[in-house]
Amino acid sequence: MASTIRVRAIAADGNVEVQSLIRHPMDSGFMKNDKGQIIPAHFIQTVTFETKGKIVFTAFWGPAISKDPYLKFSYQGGAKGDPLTISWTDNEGMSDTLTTKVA
Amino acid sequence: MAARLAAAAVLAASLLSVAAAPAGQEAGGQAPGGQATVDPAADAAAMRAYFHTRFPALSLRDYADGPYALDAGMRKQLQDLMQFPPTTFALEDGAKRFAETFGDGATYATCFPGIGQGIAQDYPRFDAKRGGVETLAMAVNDCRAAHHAAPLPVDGEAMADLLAQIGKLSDGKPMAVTVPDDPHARAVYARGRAVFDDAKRGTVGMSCADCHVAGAGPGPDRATRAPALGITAGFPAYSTGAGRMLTAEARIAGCDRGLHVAPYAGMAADHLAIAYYLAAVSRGVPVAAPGVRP
Repeated sequence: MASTIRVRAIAADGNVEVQSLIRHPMDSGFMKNDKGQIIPAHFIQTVTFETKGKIVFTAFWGPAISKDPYLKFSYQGGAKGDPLTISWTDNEGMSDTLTTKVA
Repeated sequence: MAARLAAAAVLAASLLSVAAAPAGQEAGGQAPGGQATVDPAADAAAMRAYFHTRFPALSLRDYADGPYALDAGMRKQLQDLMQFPPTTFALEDGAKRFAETFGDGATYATCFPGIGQGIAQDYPRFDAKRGGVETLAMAVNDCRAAHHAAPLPVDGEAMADLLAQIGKLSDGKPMAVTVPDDPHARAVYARGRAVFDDAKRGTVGMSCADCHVAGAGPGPDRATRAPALGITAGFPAYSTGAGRMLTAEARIAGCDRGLHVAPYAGMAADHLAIAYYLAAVSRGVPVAAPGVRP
């Protein structure tokens, strides 16, 4: 299965701008399916971005975050070619991780 | 404001002149049984002239972006969105689905000429065999039926992904929906035009054109209305509000909910007729599907 994570990290002027898209249903636990049954809550709880052993961004998410969440941030001190590892875990214990290179 | 009213008057006058035009123009003049005369080519020219007068800086391609075309702030939003398009996953799945092989060895490319490249600009079209408007989703399901596959729900995710991929394969092709010389086709077109332009709908009591022709652009409630010209060229579109892909028909139904239109028999047929009318008057606007909408 293809990774659930899409990411683009671009270095410019000593900053690295990161954009990511994570494929996840982010069910809030309040929605019903077409049979009227509650769809159980299923959402990402933590997302981390790590480069060269250092965490540069952490997000604690809850059921209010949209489906297939998009995230954009930038950090200082990165350079082209640095590895960047993105990982998420959700409330059902599922997780995914992806390592990319800063372009 | 005065300029806007004047422009609206120009459009009204040109539409009147269309209605009064002698029989025998493009789609064939007076229909048997005394139906209204329709001239889609003249309607399309009038629509394009109206918007060109109001928004001279916009190119035809800009209109496919809907509301994003009419407001500098929204245009910036769209540029940011498209750096990392929310349609990414729909297109990935759509490409996979489009390449699928049916049980009898056929693929979607078997049904659609040119391996499905450049077909979206011809839809929705009038299908004489069906006796009504055929959307791309219906054509996809016909293809599945011909190869013994179960139909997909028309407003489901799988269908939206497929339509996104087919739209992508038609990227940049000018919309080319025409109204054939057929009394039924002309009647559907005339119905779509009448509902869109004239009918005051729902408890809100506004017509489609009140927002999407005269009211196109930023409105008093700070929402921006898409211009009618080219409004379907970016569909199916990922709705950031709905969090999923919407077809043009589903989006039109959303407008009716906003106007608090009580459901009535033939409502779905009216939505199809509106989609058909909008596609026919948007001829020449390049397809830019899958698009993004607020």
